[in-house]
Amino acid sequence: MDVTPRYLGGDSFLGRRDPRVLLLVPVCYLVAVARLDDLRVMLLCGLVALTYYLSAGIPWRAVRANWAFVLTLMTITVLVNSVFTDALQIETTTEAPTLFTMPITGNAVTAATLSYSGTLLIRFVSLAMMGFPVAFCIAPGDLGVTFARLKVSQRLAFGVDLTFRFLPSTAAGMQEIIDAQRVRGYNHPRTNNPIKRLKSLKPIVIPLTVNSLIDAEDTSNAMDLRGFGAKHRTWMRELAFDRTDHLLLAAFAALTVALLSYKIFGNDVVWVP
Amino acid sequence: MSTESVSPRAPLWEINSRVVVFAAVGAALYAVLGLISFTIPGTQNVDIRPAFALVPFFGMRFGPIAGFFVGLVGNMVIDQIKGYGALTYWNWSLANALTGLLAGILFALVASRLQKEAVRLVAVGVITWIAMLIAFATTFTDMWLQDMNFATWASVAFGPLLLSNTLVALILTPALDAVWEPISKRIGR
Amino acid sequence: MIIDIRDASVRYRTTGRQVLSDVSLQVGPGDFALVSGPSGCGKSTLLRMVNGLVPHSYRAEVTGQVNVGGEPVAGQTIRRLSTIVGTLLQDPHKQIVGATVFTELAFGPENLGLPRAEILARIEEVAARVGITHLLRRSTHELSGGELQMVAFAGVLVMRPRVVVVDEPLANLDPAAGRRLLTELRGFVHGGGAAVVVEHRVEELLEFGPTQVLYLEDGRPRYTGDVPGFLRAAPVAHVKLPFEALVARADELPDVPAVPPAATVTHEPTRLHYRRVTLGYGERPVLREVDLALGATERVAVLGRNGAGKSTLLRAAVRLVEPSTGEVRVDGEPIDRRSTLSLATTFGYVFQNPSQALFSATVAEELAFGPRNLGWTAGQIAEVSEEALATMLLNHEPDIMKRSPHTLSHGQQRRLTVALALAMRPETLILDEPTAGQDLHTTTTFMERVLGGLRSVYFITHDVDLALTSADRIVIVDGGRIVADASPAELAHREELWAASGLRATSLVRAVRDRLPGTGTIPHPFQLARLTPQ
Ligand SMILES: Nc1ncnc2c1ncn2[C@@H]1O[C@H](COP(=O)(O)OP(=O)(O)OP(=O)(O)O)[C@@H](O)[C@H]1O
Ligand SMILES: Nc1ncnc2c1ncn2[C@@H]1O[C@H](COP(=O)(O)OP(=O)(O)OP(=O)(O)O)[C@@H](O)[C@H]1O
Ligand SMILES: [Mg+2]
Ligand SMILES: [Mg+2]
Repeated sequence: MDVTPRYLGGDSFLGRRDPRVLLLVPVCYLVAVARLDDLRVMLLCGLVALTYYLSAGIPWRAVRANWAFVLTLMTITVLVNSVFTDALQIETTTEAPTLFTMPITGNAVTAATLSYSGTLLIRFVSLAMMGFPVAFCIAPGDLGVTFARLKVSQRLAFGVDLTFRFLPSTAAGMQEIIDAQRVRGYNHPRTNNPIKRLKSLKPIVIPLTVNSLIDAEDTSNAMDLRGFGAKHRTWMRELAFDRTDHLLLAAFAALTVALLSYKIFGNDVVWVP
Repeated sequence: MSTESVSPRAPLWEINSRVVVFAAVGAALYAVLGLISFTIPGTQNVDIRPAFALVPFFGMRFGPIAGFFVGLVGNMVIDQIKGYGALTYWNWSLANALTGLLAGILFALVASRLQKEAVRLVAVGVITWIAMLIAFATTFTDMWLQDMNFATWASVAFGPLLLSNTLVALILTPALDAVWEPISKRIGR
Repeated sequence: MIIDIRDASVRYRTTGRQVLSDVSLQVGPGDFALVSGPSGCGKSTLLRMVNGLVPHSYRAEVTGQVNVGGEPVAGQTIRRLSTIVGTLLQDPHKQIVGATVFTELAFGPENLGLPRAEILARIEEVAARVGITHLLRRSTHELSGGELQMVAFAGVLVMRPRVVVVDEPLANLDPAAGRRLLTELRGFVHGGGAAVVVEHRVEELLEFGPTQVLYLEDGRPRYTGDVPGFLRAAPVAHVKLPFEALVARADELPDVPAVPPAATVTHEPTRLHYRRVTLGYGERPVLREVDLALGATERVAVLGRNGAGKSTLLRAAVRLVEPSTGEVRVDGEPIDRRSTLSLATTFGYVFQNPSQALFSATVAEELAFGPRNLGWTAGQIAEVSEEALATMLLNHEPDIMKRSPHTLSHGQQRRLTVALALAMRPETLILDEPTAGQDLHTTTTFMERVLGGLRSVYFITHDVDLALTSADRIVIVDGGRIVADASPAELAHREELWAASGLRATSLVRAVRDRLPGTGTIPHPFQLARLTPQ
């Protein structure tokens, strides 16, 4: 998998937003939809998320593979937790009759189970939709300053930038180690035994870590030699909320408040058609 | 004139450039290696993620802050690269982060005083395991966030994860520490 | 004086060894100091003393006077020193902290807390000065080695230091890129700055007019003074001097070790055959439709500028890159029919960067890794390990088998990687820049042994003189193609080729051109110098 950060949504509506918005909005959304039970409300939220996602202008071709992976895994998780095994505690609007019983696990599936599986799936998928702009619409190098402006320690905020700087070189380092072992006649074994597989990864994990750490000693010196670590540091990237940013944030804050009160004061239970 | 270099171990909570660089390196390593994972045959969604060993290792070697950062940022980047979104499973990222944090604190309290190699490695294993146990217990929030009952949470989320992480942490973390120790002495900073 | 070091000594606490003794160095505005000496003599340590890493970051004891900017280094923080001394580390990859070139250049001034407008102005000015304006928006991880070195240098200059210290800037650069860097450095000194450069490739540096030379040996100053004095006093076997200096000192030149000539077989079999091969990464081809046949008894040097695709070309021989079109054949057989193991015994492959090839906990395990894959017994493994270490002059290092490979010095690591390849008893050895960052004496000794012990060696190098004297065939890669393939003497005479492909006609090339016919092999520079009338 390619780990180099990709910047895809540059000129879109979301691409033009202050990166802090792209970080805060998903947090609002997460709070808003957590524990939401009613499929109909969840669908509405899903629409909001879809609109948000589309306004990021991420080209479909570039993220097709990501979506295939995410959808498959989320579907499996939801099915396992609801349809195959009776893993969920759900409260319903009305008593729902059993539709069928799953073979093997013997789990009784009702309309309520299906409705709630739908809610779960939409919740996960919409959260993923809210997450994509964080990955693809924040310009590389903007993440650090975003955190710094969100009152995270200046140095740790820079650490976030640095993480993205190290990603490609770490991935390259891993390939180099595999190469070095191959030119000395070693093929990484294919086996299904998890303990054996774990052991077979030792020759990659350990050298890669050690090599990265040794390089890091030099990098930390290089940073000291360029004056890193002062209390005050300028960030070249200037961040400023414009009106649209404020509006967008306010809208999502309102959504969160509305849904929170609905969940607390309203009667949010699983909907049975 | 003679200059004594005074470099006692830096205070546990200081964020100097070493901590920042090692935290960033660790997070990048965790993210890259964390993409290599495989499923235990017979279970649906229990991933063995060998790179998890890095989180307690960084906590112990470079301090609780570095450990926290590696777990948090590393796990978020993995989720982000896979496509889940960095925040979707935020409580799991937090559990990762806590593992690093706790391992760092425990190690500073106990094991940094241990001189004998074998004793230290055992301590590394035990600390890893305890840190992980406590940290991942926090994912009980899943029960609330995803409406699971306790049995389900214990059997599909916490239990298998504990098993796989135990395996990883006990095999790989001490191995990492054993290799790093002589090198860190030699680099001598 | 910006730097004022008097009788300083350094001892690393980790090893307890004294690595510098009674060294003095004075550098003021307009000074350009060259520091040279054999590998491990303490050059990097000297620079660390100037920029404060010793004693602030490395645990080390310093005695004597070390003043920078008029005050003792020990009393200043590294951050404070960073506004006086700018440091360019040997490996630019480790120095780069920004994801894009712009953020990389902004890093230092940001840390100084300068206003944005001022930072922007500085970046624009420096980028224009060193010619990287077109790179500002690029991400750093996709730059070539040469570009990266320039960016790192610019990142130092934007801090407006009073002196720049540089550790082996030329080791990874092709001659043209090296000249660009040195030109900028010279310009910096000319504009009122100062520089201290550590470098083995003395000849290249001399053109840029260093004002003083410090030659260290075993941590002690052996020569301090101006350039003409240095050319008279420098030990000829250890420093690569310009050819004219060799001629001037012809009668003190030592006997040259005789490199056994390559076996001349009339119809030698082809070992490695590229047939219309295109190689690249992702979508981007690096080399297009290459046709090349390398023999089983040849010594071939591959030259070319940074990023030309030299490593890519030879990586295809061990299937680290697969051709997108065309076919690579090994001993007449398509390469994909050869197993990993059989390829590993045909070609011993030595990587460009030694640390990328090292992954074991101890040297003994590292050496055993390959032979174990071949299924050799413990006894056999011990035997080949000993032998390979001895060949690479590593057997005298105390306790080497039990040490971690990463604790060896840079030069030793590089020799170890060659030993790893030798331990598998390959038929052909492929070396990717075997001599980068090594002193002349080590280079000669180890190339001589490698060339003497194997029937065929293919090596990549930026050291033109090494290629001329050690190879019997030179291949030049440029612009995605092979632009030349001829004997050393023949190439030396093709004047137009050198500048066009990023190479540089060294004093030896010029000497060959002036004094030898355009065919056959080239004698050792010492021999050539003795034959030359003064
Ligand atoms: N961090 C360290 N701790 C202990 N010893 C060290 C350390 N760094 C270097 N040395 C030792 O100090 C001596 C001088 O090392 P230094 O790196 O200064 O050499 P150098 O002249 O730069 O060599 P090269 O040309 O190979 O780079 C060597 O013997 C080396 O092994
Ligand atoms: N793993 C890789 N992925 C993508 N591109 C690569 C990779 N390795 C090399 N390249 C690119 O391919 C081109 C040729 O690289 P190569 O390493 O073969 O050059 P080289 O001639 O060996 O240069 P140098 O003298 O700097 O070692 C360069 O532009 C480089 O950026
Ligand atoms: Mg050095
Ligand atoms: Mg190369």
